[in-house]
Amino acid sequence: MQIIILGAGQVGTGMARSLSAEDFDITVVDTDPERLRELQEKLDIRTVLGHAAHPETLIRAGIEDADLLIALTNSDETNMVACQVAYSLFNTPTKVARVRASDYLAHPELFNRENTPIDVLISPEGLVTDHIQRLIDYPGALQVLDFADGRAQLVGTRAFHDGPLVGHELRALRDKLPSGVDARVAAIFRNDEPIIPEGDTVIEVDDTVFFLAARNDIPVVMRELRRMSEPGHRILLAGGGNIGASLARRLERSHHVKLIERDPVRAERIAEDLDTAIVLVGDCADEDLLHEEGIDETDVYCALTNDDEANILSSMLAKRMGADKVITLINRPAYVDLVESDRIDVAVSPQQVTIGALLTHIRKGHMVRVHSLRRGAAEAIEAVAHGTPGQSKVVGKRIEEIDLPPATTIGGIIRGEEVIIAHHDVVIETDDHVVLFVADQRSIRRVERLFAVEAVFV
Amino acid sequence: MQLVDVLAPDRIAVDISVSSKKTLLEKAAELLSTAPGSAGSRDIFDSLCQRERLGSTGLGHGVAIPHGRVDSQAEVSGAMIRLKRPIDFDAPDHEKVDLFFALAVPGQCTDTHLRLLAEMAERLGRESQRHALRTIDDPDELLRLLSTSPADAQAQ
Repeated sequence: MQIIILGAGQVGTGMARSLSAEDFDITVVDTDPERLRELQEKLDIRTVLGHAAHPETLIRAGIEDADLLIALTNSDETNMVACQVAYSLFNTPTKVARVRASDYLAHPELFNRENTPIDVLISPEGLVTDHIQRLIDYPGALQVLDFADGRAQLVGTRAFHDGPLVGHELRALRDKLPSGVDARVAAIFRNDEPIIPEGDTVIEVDDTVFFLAARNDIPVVMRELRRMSEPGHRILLAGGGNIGASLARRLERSHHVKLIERDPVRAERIAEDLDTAIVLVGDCADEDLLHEEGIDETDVYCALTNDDEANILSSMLAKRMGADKVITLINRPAYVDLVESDRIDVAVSPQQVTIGALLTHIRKGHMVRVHSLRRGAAEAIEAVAHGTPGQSKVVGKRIEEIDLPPATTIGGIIRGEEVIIAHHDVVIETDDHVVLFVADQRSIRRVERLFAVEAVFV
Repeated sequence: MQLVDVLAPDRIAVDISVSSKKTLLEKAAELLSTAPGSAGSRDIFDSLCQRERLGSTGLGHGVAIPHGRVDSQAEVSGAMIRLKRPIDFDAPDHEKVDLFFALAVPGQCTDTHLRLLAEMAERLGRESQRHALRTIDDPDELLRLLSTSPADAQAQ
């Protein structure tokens, strides 16, 4: 597959890095020769210098043969025009663009073939805001991933000694759950190594456990793995950028929200937009300020400034001063590995959240959702099964009969409105949405082939 | 309905060059859109691309049958493309592809269309057919070949 990435910023670079590790033909376009040189030294990609929306630049980048254009420059307008040019002049099949301005996003009728031909709109800030909101909803969760518009969720959580299932075989889970509630453990990570769960796998303290369940059942299942507190009520947000401001707006109705912003002008503008949330002007690394604002009684502290180091330091401070859960926004992938420990509960990487959204359109087969996990080492996938029993490698088969590649499990199926948790005798039907956990990225190709339809499928 | 019934001499392109899967599908959509009652090439192209994402239409042995359902397509139309140099098409046997039979199918897909695709797969699965389709240059003669039953061609 030939892919052109416009813009070598954080998301563009992150995307190029993770895609170039796979078998793709990648070209990155940017106006900054320094950035491109740096990128080319590190990665096996092509680079093209020039204005991302100009037809001449796009031709040099190979647009005539490209299957996919991903427009991630800093300018919404450049991204939109680049997609228009790609469509009108070059018939590019799939065009993805980052559009940030909420004013554009408020008019979805702009984005279609007759107007601005963008097939997929990506808003990293929106994705990160959703991601963090789900983490706030489930206090014990390290990851909360939606499938089938949230009807089913895959939750990653750490097993604690006080969880009733901890120290027991997985097959005990079904008996421990109240009737009508079901869940499937899709993967376990122990000391950073994936374990493919079987019925006799015993959950140990400190395992990171990923399980799939219908949304309403998540808290019940999570209580089997750890003592659960009620969803946090007191939220302190540090940083009044797009993510901080929109989180404050979304949470203020149901939570007690305070937001710290350094810039008084920006703080005033955010405050005008909020009803009950309180906006404070100050520095989030200021111990006195955190103390005054009751950090020791804060349920969730989120560090959301655009400065990684400031986010990390203020999160560690907040945790030490008594915040119950801290969530830290971190852009540099290398830092994410460093800090997730007992000092910072969850590190959120905008790149990783965004890459999942992009992978949905890159993976072959009919993929509805792809979530990238563990710095791209694992993926959680919602794939649609098509075809008739004779034609498909999954349709008409019991789950135990499916030839799954290594390190891959089926967590469940969404059939219409119904969430069906995977058990060995469940039979896959055509049009089922199948949720898979692929703990080793090398198995992705085989998962794609499993869900690929036959050549004669119409 | 057979393959020969949906083809026409002016929708047979022999020994052309394309640089990629994408440009091949563009060319196929262009040819298909010239058939009477056909949708526009853009709609056909989109549908061919979408279908290809679900799984390659490569049959193996250098042959593929790109096709797609198109809402505004009144009748099924077909086109044949033979390339000078084969291209990568994600075929199941990993071989490059030079022989393409493309179809634009109406939005309401019927048994007739399924049988047509099955017939194509069956015919193109025969080495003798593939050999003949790769060596004959004249469109009318190609159509004559496709109008005989594949088993007869085997006998010749």
